[in-house]
Amino acid sequence: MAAVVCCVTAAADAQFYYFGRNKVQYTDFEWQVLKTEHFHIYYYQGMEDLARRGAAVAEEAYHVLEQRFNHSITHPIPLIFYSSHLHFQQTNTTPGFIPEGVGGFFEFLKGRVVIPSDGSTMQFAHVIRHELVHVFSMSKFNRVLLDHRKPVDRLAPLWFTEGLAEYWSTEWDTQADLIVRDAVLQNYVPGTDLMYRIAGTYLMYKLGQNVCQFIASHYGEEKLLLLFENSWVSRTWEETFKATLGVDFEEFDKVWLYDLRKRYYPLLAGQDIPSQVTTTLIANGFNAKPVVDVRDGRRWVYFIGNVLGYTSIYRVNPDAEDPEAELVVKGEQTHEFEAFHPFQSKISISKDGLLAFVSKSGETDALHLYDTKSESLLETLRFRDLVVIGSPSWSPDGSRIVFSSIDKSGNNDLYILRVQERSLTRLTNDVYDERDPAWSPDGRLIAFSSDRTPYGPTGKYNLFSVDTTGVDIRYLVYGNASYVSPTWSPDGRRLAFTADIDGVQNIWTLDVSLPEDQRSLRRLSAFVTAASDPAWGGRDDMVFTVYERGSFQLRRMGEVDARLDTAEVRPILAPDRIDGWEPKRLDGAMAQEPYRYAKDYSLDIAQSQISTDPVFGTVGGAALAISDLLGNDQYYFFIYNTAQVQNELLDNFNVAISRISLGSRVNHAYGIFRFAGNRYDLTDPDLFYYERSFGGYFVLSYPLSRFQRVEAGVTVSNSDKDIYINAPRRALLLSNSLSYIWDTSLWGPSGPVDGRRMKLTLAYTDDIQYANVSYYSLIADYRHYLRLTTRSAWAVRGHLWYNEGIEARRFFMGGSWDLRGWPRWSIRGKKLWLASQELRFPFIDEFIVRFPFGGLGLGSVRGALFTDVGGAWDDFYRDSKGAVGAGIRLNFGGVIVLRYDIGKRIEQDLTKLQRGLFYQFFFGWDF
Amino acid sequence: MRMLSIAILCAFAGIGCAGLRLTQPLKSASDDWTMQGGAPDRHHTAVTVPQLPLVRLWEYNAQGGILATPLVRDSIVIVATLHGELQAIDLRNGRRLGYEKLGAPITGTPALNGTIVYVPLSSANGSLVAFDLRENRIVWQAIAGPIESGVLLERTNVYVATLNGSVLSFDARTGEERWKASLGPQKDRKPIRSTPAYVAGVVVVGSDDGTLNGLNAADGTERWKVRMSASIFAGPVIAGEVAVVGDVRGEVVAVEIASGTVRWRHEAGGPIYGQSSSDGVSVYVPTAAGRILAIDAATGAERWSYEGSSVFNSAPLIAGDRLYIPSLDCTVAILDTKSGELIDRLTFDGRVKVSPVIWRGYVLVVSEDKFLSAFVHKGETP
Repeated sequence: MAAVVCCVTAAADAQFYYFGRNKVQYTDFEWQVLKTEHFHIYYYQGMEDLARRGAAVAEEAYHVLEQRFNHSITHPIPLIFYSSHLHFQQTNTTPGFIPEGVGGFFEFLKGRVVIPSDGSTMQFAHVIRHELVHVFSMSKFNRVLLDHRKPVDRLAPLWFTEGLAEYWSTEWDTQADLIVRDAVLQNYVPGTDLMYRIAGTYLMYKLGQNVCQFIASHYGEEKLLLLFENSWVSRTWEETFKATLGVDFEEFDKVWLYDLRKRYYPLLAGQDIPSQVTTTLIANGFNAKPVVDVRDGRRWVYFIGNVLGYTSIYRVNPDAEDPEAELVVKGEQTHEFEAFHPFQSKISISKDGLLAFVSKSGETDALHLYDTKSESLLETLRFRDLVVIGSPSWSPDGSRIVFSSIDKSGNNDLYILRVQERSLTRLTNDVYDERDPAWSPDGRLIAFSSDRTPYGPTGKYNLFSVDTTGVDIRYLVYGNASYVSPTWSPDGRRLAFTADIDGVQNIWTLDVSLPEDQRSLRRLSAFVTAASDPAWGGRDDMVFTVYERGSFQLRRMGEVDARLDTAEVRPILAPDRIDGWEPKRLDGAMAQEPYRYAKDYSLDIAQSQISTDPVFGTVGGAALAISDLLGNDQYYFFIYNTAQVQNELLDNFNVAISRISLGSRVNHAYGIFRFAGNRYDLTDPDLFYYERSFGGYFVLSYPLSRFQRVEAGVTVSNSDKDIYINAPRRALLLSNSLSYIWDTSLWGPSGPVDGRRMKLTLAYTDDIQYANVSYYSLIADYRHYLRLTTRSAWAVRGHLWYNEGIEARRFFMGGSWDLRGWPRWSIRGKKLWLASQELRFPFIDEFIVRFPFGGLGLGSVRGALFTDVGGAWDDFYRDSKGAVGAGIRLNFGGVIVLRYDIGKRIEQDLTKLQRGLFYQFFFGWDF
Repeated sequence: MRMLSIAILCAFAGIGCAGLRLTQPLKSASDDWTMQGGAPDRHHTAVTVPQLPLVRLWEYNAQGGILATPLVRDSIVIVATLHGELQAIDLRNGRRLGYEKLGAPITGTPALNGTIVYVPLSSANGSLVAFDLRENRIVWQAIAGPIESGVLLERTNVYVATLNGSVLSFDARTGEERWKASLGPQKDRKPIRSTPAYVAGVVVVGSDDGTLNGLNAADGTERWKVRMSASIFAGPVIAGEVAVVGDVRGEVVAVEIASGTVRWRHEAGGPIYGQSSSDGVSVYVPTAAGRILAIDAATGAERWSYEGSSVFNSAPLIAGDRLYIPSLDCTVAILDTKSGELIDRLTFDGRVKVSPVIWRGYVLVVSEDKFLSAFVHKGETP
């Protein structure tokens, strides 16, 4: 039974694992299908307009890409759209959790492209194009290799595939330039052969894009196509690269890196590295969206950051000599504050010290009001039709809050909430992406950033003002640049914001006290990287985020008035066109009428295996998995046979069929099985027997939140055992179990470093026909991880496994995963306890072996100091055993952790240390 | 005689098909398709015009990708594959008669002279092979550099262009190198993927460096050079007095063969990866943007254009007043050459990226991932 459950859930969600968080299916999506010339587009009710916009982009991108790749896709491409990132996080098209920063993905097993909207039509289009480059890349690689009868296991490195996807889906923009500029000026650009060190990072994407752009400009755009056409030439990418470009990585890097330095070094003549000219508030990690609370002569800067690992709300005293972050609201550990959106949503503080901020809280975002005086959460507000909420801003009198929000349509609009009355007024209702509203100190206007400008189609945002009725929308700043994150000075005379005028995002101001025709822009900062999220820290002081050395830091700048008096001045442009733009939509003859999605199953995996065992002989079997296109329904078929001769065929025939349903909040799995064959019970080493069992099972899993769930299961099985040294045993077993699982752990390179995990299981197994078996089980497992510093932690765990009754099974322990130093599975009993503590700390950050591997780099090596104590018994407790020691752990490619421990066993009921040392090498994550 | 040669070939095939031997010479005819484009000027014009509609007679699985145009003579089809095999097929029934493995991918189209096939290989060593179908042996082998374009055969001379950026000429009988011309100085030299064409003592070939080159066929010296907007992957076609070629940015240029003077330029609106074809009056240009342009060869004026649904990346085939256009949308569209109107369409399971061939009443089409299909007029066997 356990084998069946393990097998069928291998590719499923965390719901059926021992621990693990939950991908909660909060929303009942009513899926529709829109068929176009090259795509099958899946979307749900309420977002048809977005789906048609996406369809138009996809078809347009398809025609561009088939020219660039000199290739076509011969089957319809499934495009699955979500109208928001929160809905996207519920997708079952991938079993893993989707982090905040993932804008979409291409899943190559079924060739699915899955993309959410973030409210921006341009960004939506960018991600569609990006993922379609992956679709074409994969298909082209396969085609070339198959044509040449080469195995299709050759892949280009990630930096190239992602870099090309960026290069062929978007322009080289301010953000890309900032990331690469910082890396060049701070001297941390890896060469093309070392790009694996930054695999998966945003820097890798942008450097990859830069490499592709450089190849196109220096060697010819067609070389990018030829890198695919030549993929058959060699097994190694570097040789293919050389065969195509005529230079190897080293020669290429010389030219490319020199070109980067030539381009960026001169910038230092006129611009500053932020840390050289500003005051540090928080320098480590990712920190964003500061807001300054000035009351009673004291200032606090509240911000979103991940100073201690979890993204939370912190505060820092900007006037302190050595500012240190203090935790205000801990995020990512509770249902209420499941996730903050550090790069999307600002926070706001009222004149009375009420902090308004947003977090994901269950199905949607929630707006929280937190009293900074009493340090307590006052209210959490959710809105039925609003999925994503962004950047709340208090009205000056503290009675209203304006914010942006994405509803089910995928559009991002502005809303005003009357806090006391709980009434909501929609200010805008269109396809334009409205962001970062800021209420003016006089309460008359709301400034916001939007792509409702003629420059919107190129991804630019201008600044606008709107009155509180939403009727009168006017330009504040117009132009061919992105003007974002407006914030009013306390006296309401100035508006500060960031703008990428001249290609670098810096802080600018606009004197709004002047008549419109006399206004001009003044540059407050001239950083060589970027500034964002400006916040007034008083009339003459400003706090903001900067990007430097790959991190987002909080910094402060004083003497704002004086700086502005001597600042560079730019005229403000009058809009030459007031109207915005209209996105293309695919309809009419270009697309069929949408219809309701009917489950469309296809093969996920089919695998057969033959193995030989010295005891059990040859075993042959096969496993098959199918699932529907949305991944909500999965079927697993499993068959194997251990017969040695023909007439044993039926006696050794094993089959299991399972169905897992993940489409609704209550996940369930059920199946039938028939297992038969010779068995050797690990828990009872004396028993060597033949067992034939058949039956069925049903498991329910209900996630209470992302962090907690309840599981219940029932199994009925007919079990016949022929025990060679005892009398046969027959039983009709009924097993029931109920579990509670809680997991808020935060993982480091070798295992959890923060948070807690717990599992409680109660189970009862009974032979309802012959009364041969009857026992109950209690399993309690608690683990606590206490973060000592950002990179070290103290971990403790306590286990109790308890079986009692007729034919109660034994548990076992011993080995690298539990009681270290003791032989694997050597400690057995119907009852078992274990307690461990472990200090986890960084040991070696990078380890490169030059000879004979020519530079084989190994990632983070972690150290551990540990103590384990435990014992096992059947009826009478015998003795306790323990171990103490130290070890190192090596994370190999993020996939596997190698562990090596040295220590001493504590023997004879914890009274004597082992003579000598034990040495244990194994793999697996820390507990 | 043809029957006899096929029978002999079949007899050898019966041994296991692991060889390719022909003891009798193949009978030559004016409609033989012996190199890319059918002739040194790469006109891509069939001698016979099959009646429509067409029905599939057979489909042959070559067990490997095909980018080279099939060659046909005396009811025998020669196919070259990307896994380095030369295969012979009975045109009448699609049965394999034998194959020979030559050891490296064959990307460019070979050329057939009598029973000797000149095969270009994408390998650095021994990259041009003269293989005798009668004797199942390599007659000669030349180290030219990797070749991914078609072989040009003109009388007793063979010409090839290499990825090393050189054009070489060999004596077709002995394999002796007649001359070698390297395009551009060593440090700037770029690969040549363009299949060379020949007319009036001039070998015309494009290069990745974006130049169209006219070389004296006698000694390989440069006669003229024309710079285009980008790399030239497609081979030129000779249309009367001009050579016409398109580049990967979509610029089409007609150059007077004799002087190297540009007679006209035309923007095709999409990358050009495939060779054009010409009936002497018009040039039919395939673009990756999914358009076929019919351009007046003399003036460069666009006569008509046809919008397909996917990439066109190989040469259209002209048969009378019909144009057969292979497409990555898994079809071959048949158009009226005068108006560009669609007359009929042949459909396939895979993409079509090799120019069709017409021999007698047979229409041969290569489709992915490794198939060769023969079509005939419904109810007729040629």
